[in-house]
Amino acid sequence: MELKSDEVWVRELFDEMTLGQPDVPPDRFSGILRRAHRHAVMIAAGALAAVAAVAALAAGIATSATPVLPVSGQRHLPGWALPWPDHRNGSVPQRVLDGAVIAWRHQTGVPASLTRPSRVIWYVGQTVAHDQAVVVIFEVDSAAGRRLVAGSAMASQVMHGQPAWTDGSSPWVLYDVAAPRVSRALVIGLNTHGTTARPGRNPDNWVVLLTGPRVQSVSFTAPGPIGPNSATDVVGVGQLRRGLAIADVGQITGSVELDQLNVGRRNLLAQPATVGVPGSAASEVPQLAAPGPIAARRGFHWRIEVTGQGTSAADVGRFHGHLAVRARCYGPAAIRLTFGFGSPRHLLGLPRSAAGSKQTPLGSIPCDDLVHELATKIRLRPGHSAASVIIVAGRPSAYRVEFGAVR
Amino acid sequence: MPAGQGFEEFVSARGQALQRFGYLLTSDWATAEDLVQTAFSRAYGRWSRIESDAPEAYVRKIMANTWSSWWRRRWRSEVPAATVPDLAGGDPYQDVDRRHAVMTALAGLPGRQRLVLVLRYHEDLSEQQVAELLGISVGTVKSQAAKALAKLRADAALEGYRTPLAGGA
Repeated sequence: MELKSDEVWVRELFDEMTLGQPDVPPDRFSGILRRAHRHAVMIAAGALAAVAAVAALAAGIATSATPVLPVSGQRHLPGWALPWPDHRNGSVPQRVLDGAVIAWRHQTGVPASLTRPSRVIWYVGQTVAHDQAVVVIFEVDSAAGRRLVAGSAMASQVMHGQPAWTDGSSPWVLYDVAAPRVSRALVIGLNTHGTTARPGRNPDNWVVLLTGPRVQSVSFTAPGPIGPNSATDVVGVGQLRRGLAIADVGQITGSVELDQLNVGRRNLLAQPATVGVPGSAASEVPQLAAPGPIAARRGFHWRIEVTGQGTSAADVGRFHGHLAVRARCYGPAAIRLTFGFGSPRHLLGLPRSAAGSKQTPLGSIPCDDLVHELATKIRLRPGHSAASVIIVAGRPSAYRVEFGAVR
Repeated sequence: MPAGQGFEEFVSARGQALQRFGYLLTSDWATAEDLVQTAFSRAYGRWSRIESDAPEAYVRKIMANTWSSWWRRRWRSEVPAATVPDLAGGDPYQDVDRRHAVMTALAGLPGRQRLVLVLRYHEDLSEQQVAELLGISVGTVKSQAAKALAKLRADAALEGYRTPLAGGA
């Protein structure tokens, strides 16, 4: 009775696995009530936000400024820190913000003893994009140096008690640069996005701009969606509250450029600047939302889904059968897929000359936001060594790729 | 109020068991607690409607659906820039090789297979009940469970941990 033995074995394993169950959290019931209340509020807020979004669109307005409620007015800062206000507004619990610091420590790759900050100075820590994203900007003083860290995460991935760092990855996308010296035209910018959109659209992109508290308004442009005949630019103006602006820039296909940074009628910018963290080119690339879901198709059995932007790799070593790919992407250029034996880390680390000889091209997916399918000749068998698919994509192209088998 | 004392008693009575279910899906007690609280909070608003009609099955279904959406959304393409295992004092679970091996094996299963396996062999639901909860056919439940068991059986990491059973392999 082979099968019965398996079943009994699995039952015993499950029982054993759960032996170390921790005690019930003392505040479980109150936590549930808080969540239920928050859930109800979010549903109501979502409805209001939808109404507001429709009204804004009808008026042709592409930007908005979210008022912030500063927690503290005066504060004592060390000389190396930016003398700017703390804009945390209570919309994000401090434990979530602490998670961003933990994620930064891991992502630096420097031993914890050096990166454990002796002091964290907060500038921004709040939800944006209708509470769908969380942005943080802080400076730290550690044995590894004084650093400015800015980044974002999807609210659904950090606001519900999830770990900030696990199994070598984190929901936080953080940019880490040497703490900058304050100057009149210094702007720290972040690109982020929402997670929901009207049918037929992808979620809007948002920018967060932090600068000196005297700056009153900014204006910006960005390349908009590429239409059948031409591309249109997104142009907007944002009002700042004590140096912070949060603006919905809509659907974009490239970096957002700041044209003006105004104190009264005076523009502090000598020349246009790209929205990003000063000194981090990667931060200037807009963080696009993943394309919408890929509808299931009979005969295609998906095993793993990858969403992302820019070149990445997926481990398909556990697959059996003919490898098939279904994908959807949007952006200015197509994505290419190649197959190779080796781990994702190994294949991504290969020099370009070596990569060409060791990888098999699978084909291209046009980034037209439609679902495309690639049937490959790659047949994977149990016992194979590690195998991966590399997704080669330009940074402003967002994709959702499903790997599976066709029968 | 949408729920009263009955809801609190239900949370108190069944919370532990549902957290174990969540743990076998998520491999992490904190995430399991988050999953349980999410499901309870959703059930809270509908308590008057579900109270008399198998509320535990309802909460379990919310947990299964919520976990499935988390599992699908999980960012799978990230390659870490560096390995930084800097836990001070060591991971308390590091020495528990057996648990680690089982959790790794479970994590390697496709989401639906893991769900079917846990519902079937930990929650002790019948194939019919699993099918109804997941909205799939009984045949699919059988095939998914068989595939999942076969994968665990073939997992080399679990080879040394197989409990000898009377009449078994």
